[in-house]
Amino acid sequence: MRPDHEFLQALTRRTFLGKVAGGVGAAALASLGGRINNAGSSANNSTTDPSKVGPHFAPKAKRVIYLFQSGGPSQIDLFDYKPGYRDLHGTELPNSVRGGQRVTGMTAGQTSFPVVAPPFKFARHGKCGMWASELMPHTAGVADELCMLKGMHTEAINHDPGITLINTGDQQPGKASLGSWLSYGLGSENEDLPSYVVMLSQGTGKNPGQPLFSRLWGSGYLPSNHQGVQLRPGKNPVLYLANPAGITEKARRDMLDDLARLNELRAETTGDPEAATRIAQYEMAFRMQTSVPDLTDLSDEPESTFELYGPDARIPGTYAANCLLARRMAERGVRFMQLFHRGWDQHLNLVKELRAQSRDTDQASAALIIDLKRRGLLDDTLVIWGGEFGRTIYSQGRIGAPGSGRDHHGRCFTTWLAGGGVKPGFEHGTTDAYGWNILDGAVHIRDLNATILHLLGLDHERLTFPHQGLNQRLTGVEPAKVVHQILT
Amino acid sequence: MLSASLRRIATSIALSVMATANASAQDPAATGAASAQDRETHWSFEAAKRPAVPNPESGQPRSAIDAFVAKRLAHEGLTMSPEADRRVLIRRLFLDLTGLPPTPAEVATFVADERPTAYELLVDDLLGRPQFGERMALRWLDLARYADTNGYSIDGGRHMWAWRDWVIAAYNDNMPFDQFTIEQLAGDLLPNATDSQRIASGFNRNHMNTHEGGTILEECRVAYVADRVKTTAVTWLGLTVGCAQCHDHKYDPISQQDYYRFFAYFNTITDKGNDGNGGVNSVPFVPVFDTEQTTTLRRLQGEIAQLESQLLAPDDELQAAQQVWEHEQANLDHSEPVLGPWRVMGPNKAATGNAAFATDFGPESDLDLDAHTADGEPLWQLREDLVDGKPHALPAQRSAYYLHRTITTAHATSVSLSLGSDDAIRVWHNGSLVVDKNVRRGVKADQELITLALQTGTNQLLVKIINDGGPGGVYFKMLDSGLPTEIATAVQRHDRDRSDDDRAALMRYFRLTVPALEPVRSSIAKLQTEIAAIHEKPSTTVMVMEEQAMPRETYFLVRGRYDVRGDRVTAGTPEFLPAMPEGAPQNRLGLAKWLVDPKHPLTARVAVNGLWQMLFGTGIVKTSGDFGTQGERPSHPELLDWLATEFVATGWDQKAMLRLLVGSATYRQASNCSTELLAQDPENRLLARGPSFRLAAELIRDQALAVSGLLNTKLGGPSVRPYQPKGLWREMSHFGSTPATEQVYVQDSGDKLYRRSLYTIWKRTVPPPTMLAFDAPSRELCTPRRGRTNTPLQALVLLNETGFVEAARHMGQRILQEGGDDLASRIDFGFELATSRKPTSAERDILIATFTREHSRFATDREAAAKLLAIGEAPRDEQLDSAEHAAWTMVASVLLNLSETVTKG
Repeated sequence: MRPDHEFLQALTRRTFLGKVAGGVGAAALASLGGRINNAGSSANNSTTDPSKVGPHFAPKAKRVIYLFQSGGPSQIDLFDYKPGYRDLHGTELPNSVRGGQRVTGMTAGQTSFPVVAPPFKFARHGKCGMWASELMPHTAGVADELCMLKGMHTEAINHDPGITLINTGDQQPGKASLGSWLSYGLGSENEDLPSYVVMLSQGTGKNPGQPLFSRLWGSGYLPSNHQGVQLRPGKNPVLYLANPAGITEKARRDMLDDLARLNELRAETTGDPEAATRIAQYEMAFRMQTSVPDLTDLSDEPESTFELYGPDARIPGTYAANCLLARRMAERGVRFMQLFHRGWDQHLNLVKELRAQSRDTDQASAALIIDLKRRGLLDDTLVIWGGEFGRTIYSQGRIGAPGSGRDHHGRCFTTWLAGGGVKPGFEHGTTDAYGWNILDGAVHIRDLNATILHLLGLDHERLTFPHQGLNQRLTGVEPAKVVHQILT
Repeated sequence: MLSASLRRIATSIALSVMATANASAQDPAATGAASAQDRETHWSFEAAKRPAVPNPESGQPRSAIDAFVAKRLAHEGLTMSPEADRRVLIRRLFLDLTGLPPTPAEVATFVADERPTAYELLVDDLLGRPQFGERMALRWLDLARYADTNGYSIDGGRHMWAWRDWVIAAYNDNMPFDQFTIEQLAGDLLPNATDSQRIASGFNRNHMNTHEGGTILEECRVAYVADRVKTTAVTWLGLTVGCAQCHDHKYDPISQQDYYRFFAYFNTITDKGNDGNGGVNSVPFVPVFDTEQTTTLRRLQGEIAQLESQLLAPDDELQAAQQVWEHEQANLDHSEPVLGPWRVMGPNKAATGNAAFATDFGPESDLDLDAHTADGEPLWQLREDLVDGKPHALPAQRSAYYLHRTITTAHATSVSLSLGSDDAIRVWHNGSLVVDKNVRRGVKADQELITLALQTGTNQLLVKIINDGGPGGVYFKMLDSGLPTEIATAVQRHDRDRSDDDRAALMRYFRLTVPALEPVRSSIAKLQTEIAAIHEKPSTTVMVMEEQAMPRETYFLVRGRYDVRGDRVTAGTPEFLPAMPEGAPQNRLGLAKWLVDPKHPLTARVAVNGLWQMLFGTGIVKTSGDFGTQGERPSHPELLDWLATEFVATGWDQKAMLRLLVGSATYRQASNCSTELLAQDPENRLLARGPSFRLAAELIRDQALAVSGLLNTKLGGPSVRPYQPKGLWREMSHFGSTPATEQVYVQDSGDKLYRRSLYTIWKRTVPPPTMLAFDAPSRELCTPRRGRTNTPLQALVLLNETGFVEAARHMGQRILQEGGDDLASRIDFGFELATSRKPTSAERDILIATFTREHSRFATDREAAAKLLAIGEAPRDEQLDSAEHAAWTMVASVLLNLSETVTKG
């Protein structure tokens, strides 16, 4: 731990209190996402080591919308298509291709690994001619906006370590999540909303899907004010946001004024700086009581919005509704919006389940890109779609059986990006004839994370935090590289 | 809106703080991380030497602590602050030593106590309260990563509360820290380990575990061992050894070899990589009996002892009968049955352990020892290596093995067998099923004890061992048959050749078999059945440490990868630290004794620093989990060494150490702070003022419960489920599973809602949100130090969460019932409940205005009052006027939200 670290953080916070006009807003903001970008930089020069907190260079994207598809979507059946799969259908996956790849305990006992061609129609789309499955018609419609990474890979082969690795940079718990790093590194652009917001949804394909963990948006060793704040459907979109029954907004305002005056009197006697900070926190809490319902109240959206995102967007808590909320947050300057959609774990019943999972998500994902573009936000918003790993070309269960599916596959999977600084209508990476190994354009999830940070103006090697004797970073101790080939 | 005066304060704070920052940009007390050179002689790796206590420049310090602190202050041109007001002191002591605020009556008594030892007497009182153990447990649970769920994957339920109760009791009993250490690290290895010592060893079973389907067992098991290593090192050594799992430590002198030698201590446990499904603890675990069960067991054992002495009482008639019996037996054939060699068939693979258990792979219905495969290979293999009386490994996979042998006897007799299995077991004797146990466990002797009535001639014994993954194993031993050997020998001796032992054994055996004593024996058997019934249904179980019968070998793992083994290593402590004490065993017990060796440079320093951190907010070494070269150096090195040596010299007495710390003038200072001092020492590392900082999450909630009168002070027991927003678990968990696996939150009601927060169920993937908001860790990993942030989410919890609103409502009721008759006395009463002091007149005026305004608001809107008063389950006194009660609820909410209330002053 650098000795002056916490002191400097406290200092930055207090500096706002004194320097920023109106004071309280900025100070409160500092508490849920580091600091304000603009105002922060002046204080930053005098107080904080510039290598610690960014941006380190001019960013291409100001914010990120991460559409996380939890469970491991099948790249074979959605995007990483080869007509040759048809010829290989039913043949045994050669050992030379499998290459001793370890498999999970679920198919380790299988004696045969027969190739299953995707049971869906595929076609090329857009000017770029990108392959996409019939399950993703809307996504296919925005092919020319997508930057498709077919050479993604990971070491993890099970959900818990896999999803923890991609979100926090390590298979074991305890590290800081991508969103909390962005909050720590860049702060927020909105005084009244957290800088890192998380929304969950459950797919209709596999229900329940694999579980989620709060560590996926946790702050690990970073100060806990950088952890993701969950936005939930219902009366309390943020936990405990609504006043108790019987307490009106006016009554709350009056009460908070009394509270502030009492805290103020006490601060004058004791000189306790925390009291002043605390007053500011209560002020932000009060403003959130307005700003969050404003955000989640969709009554100001025209009919065309729901046509674009689909009818699910009217149902709180669905993936479509969360996509629409992400766009509304992007407009309001939230730094990092992360959706977690569960149910992409098609060991069994792949045909039926994958169809349902795709139907849940396809239209709204594409709508988000169209919508952001129309509003001029796509240029500086990075949209990411992907899961923790992919799925095997071989069948889990007897080939052709209606209950069969595919096991986990970490050696290659597909993630797409769009907007903020990545090449549109672009494909990076190719896999072999079996969709099993990467031939070129390999992108480890560390590389993806390094690239995301890079697009936000952060150098993954300089964005560090001292903890337990080490300068911790999102990309960990193994080498990671920014994928320059995909940048505009 | 922020008033002008506050803005002025804030500005002056900020500006002065900035001025200092520009001058030094450093915490004045810290001396920074160590340079590379001093790795060789890093301060914390050298044994603490007792420093001389400095002479005070003026006045008489209360304790040695003050002399060290004053010396440093003088060096900085500062002096200590005066002693705090008694009301501040009592609140500080109560919160620090019990985690609860004092009642107004306790405050009044202390303020009026004119005895010179009033303060010390109060400290003794608090150290003796049961709430002391609960308070002390808080930090220990963070270090031990205590939780009620498994953490990985679906994050199913587990049962470790009996271990938590052990911790609370150990603190309350003032167990010396060396014993506290030994029992938690190696209680199971102590000679004649008691139940309590075995439970204590659960410390290192608190780590996360998984039962995710696709898991590779060894990968997970290695992660568990690594977690034990990390946690033990941070908790006792204050060292971060995790880096050395993959490579030599970059900064501290811990080699990767050292790491795996340390790893070896924790690598021979009978646990599995994938276990703990369905809300059942993962192996190894032991039953825990509650007070009622323990009392019953003790009574039953007493009654049995009494009946046994009755059984053996002198009796002429029986003695005569015994002589007749001895004559008969002397002439009989007592030859032992003969065991044939083992033949083994397997593995017979199955998808699951349950399938392997249920499937007949042939021998169960048709035992054909000559059976062949299609290729002509014999299915049964002769296995003469399976020597009786020791556990043998069976290959690790989901499968069933059959083991067969004959038992031949020349005369009808009975035989007692001891069997053990990893995991499940079924046994057939001449085709009849005699053991049928679908369990998951590591193999040990005596897991199954059976007696078979043998037919004359050849008997067939068929054993099926079912392994549900991980290592498998079997154990077999024939205990005795017919007459036990010693009895058979004794009975065939002539009476004059018999020893006293022979005679005693014969009498005992006779009395245990003679039909005349059957009624006594059946009474004993009945009592034993009652004991067995209690053992079948323990109050709970708790995971513990238990060594494997066949200890696993430990290998150096290349780059930390579970599947890339280097050379074999043996257990040992890191070379840069002192050697093991003479004669200490090379196991966890030896390791624990090594840690508490008085000469150990780290353990005592780390332990007293932890206590200091709890009281002063920051340790003398701020990085309380890292005393290595990358950690921060101590702000007061001599003071730390003096305290560490004092701790050892006083027999690791934790209460004595706390008495010393809170007795110091340093601790008793007022915490008021001038702008200049704040600028010079924002974190109070120099200690020119008393400790003041925001309360820990648990204390904030417990205090609200206490001052509202809702607190349920029951000590210990299973975790409870207070209010929680609906759906929080469901939206993240595997909600297809049963409530037993902690996938669904089923809120408690009644007095369980008002237990202290350390009893709130801790689900690792969705920790209690009111705790998380105030910087509680997820408990996934060992956490030596919590952060202290200040966020709007905290404001929302205190203002709106059901439990806090209910506390405000109940506190409002209390103010009305106990606060006197006039407005001012009620305000004063409520204010004192929350802060332990009376309000100033300015403060009182504000709160009177609050009440007056809210009262008129609710008087004109009775419906709003009724809604507010309906929040929470605690009944309300319906005699109270609703508008008045609602208005006092608002006043109480203001009081619970005061910065002062959530701060230790």
